[in-house]
Amino acid sequence: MLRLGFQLLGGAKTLQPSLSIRVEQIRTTYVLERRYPPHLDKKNRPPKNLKTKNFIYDEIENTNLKKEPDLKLILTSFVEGVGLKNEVVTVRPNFGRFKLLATGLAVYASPENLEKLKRDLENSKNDVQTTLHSSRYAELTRRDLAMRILVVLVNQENPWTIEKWHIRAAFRRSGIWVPDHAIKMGDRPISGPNLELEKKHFLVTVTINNLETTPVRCMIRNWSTLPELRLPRVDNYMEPPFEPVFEDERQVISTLPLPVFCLKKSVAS
Amino acid sequence: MSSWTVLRNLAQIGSVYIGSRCMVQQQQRFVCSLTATSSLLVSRVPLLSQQRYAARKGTRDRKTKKKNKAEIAKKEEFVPYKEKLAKLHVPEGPRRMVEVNKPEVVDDVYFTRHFMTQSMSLADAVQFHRETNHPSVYNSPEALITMKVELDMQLQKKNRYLDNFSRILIMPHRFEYQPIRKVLAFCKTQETQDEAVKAGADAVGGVDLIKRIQSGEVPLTDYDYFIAHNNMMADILPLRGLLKRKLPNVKSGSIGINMTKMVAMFSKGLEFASTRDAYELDYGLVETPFGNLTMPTEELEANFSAILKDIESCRAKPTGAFITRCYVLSPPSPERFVVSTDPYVKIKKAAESSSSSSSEDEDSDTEKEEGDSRNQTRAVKQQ
Repeated sequence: MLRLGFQLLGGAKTLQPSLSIRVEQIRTTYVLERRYPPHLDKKNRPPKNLKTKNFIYDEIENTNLKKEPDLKLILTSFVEGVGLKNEVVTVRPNFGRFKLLATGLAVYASPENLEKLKRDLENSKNDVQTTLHSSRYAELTRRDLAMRILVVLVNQENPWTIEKWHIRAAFRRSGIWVPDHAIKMGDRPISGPNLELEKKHFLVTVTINNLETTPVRCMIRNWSTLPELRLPRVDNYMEPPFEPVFEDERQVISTLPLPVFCLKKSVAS
Repeated sequence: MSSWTVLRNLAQIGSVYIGSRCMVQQQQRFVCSLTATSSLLVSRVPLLSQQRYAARKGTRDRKTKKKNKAEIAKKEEFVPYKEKLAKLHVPEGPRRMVEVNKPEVVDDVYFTRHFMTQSMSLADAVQFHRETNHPSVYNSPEALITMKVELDMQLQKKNRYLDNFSRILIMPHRFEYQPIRKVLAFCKTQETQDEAVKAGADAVGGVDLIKRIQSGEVPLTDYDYFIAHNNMMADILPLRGLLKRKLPNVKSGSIGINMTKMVAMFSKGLEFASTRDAYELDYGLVETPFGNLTMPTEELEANFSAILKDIESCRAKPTGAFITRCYVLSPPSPERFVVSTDPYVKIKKAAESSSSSSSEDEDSDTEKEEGDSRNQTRAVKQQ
């Protein structure tokens, strides 16, 4: 049983003394107070017996209902949304125990483990992990961006050529913060007003923290200040097939993952 | 002996002890224990009528008092129909944006809804609005730029809130927004009258004008604001009934010596007011434009700062943040940005509160005075 518990908890990866997983800590501690405390006893006399009313208690604290404090852990490998390797993170206890400690992705940040981590970091000078992931959220963001179809609004009446700030503003309007230096545009200019470009796709490249890179589909939509000049409303305009502006980008545009709402529809049908 | 005869006998026994209830009860219990079937029938035996005495006078009084109290509590306060309707549609969630359990921004590219909102400088916000309202996108490069300022209307006392305030302010850099308002000026001397006319007052007059207003020759509806020179203070008092809240007073700044400044302020100044939320009582909002996108950023910043400082002067509490958040919008651009107000308004900390007594707001002043007087009385008691 002991050995089984040891294996389940991740074997040698956990530096904690491994107990059987059946042995659970049961917290049944209540802090109570006597409602009618007994009076003091007299000197040099045997103590009086307690009366029935002395056994009435008021609850001060129930430790079962107390919020458990957060766990402090050291990650043994990169965990998406949590942290990089060798990072000391603070997580909720159940998440930490079931998802990180049980799978061996983390160890407790005990003084010994912290000491060991410090020694290890000193010995290995080159940081391998930073070359794989720039931050805990970068990979998530990259995946979401690849799914995205960015709507780039352009004016129907006035002349325009799509520039970097157009893309940046379009990202910002759809709730994504992208600075100028993270955007890489294609060499060929796209300009208008040209109603043939309506609903056509082109690609820009976004680089997160100078590391994670992904192409993002952009869709041109025409817009007019005057409501009567605007193009008629089209339903489901974000769904495939996607027509590219430049024919050589068709391959990449079709291979990028579909947006979530398209996936849901395909599952339902 | 059948159960019927038993019953009859018992009834006779019962009739002997008229008035002594406990005895009858004893008999009844006895009957019940005899047979199970008879127990149903016992209830038909006529219960002996009891003499009922009134309770003592004190008890009666107490009971009537209790009853009256309950009735008073039941009566609901009259609520107008419109207010009742409004209460049926209570908005969901708080007016203020609440962000909990969101991490701070780590990367340079991120989805804004997953992270805490980052406040930016006004210059950036203006630049971003210019991009969105550019001729090649939304095509409204001359759009107004608006600020929405969220306020904390809580006064120092619990359950007391600052009333709505309205202000008029001369902008450092004027922009076309509100129509020019008509101003009537009361001044005695020729010099001051000339000064007012030069500044752009629509009507000027002295004591004779007051008489003409009283007789109804001059229609008051033509004018939006009424201002007066200091030396006319006593003469305009008979107009109180006609002008009502528009009567010039020192507090609103419509009585003074500098006619030029006053006329300019009331005819061309920017008007804005706070609106309190009907449900979230400590929530106040000031929404006002402060310029055009065509104006240079420095001018916009000056206007922005002037409005913020003016709002700050109406603060509710002597300490803590009064301006909780400031949004900058520019319709038709759908974006809104949170702009940090720290460079324009200093947050008063608790330590400074004792020295800061220059607050213009009447409510907070009275609050403070009350607090002080209470302290003094306490001190007296201790002595």
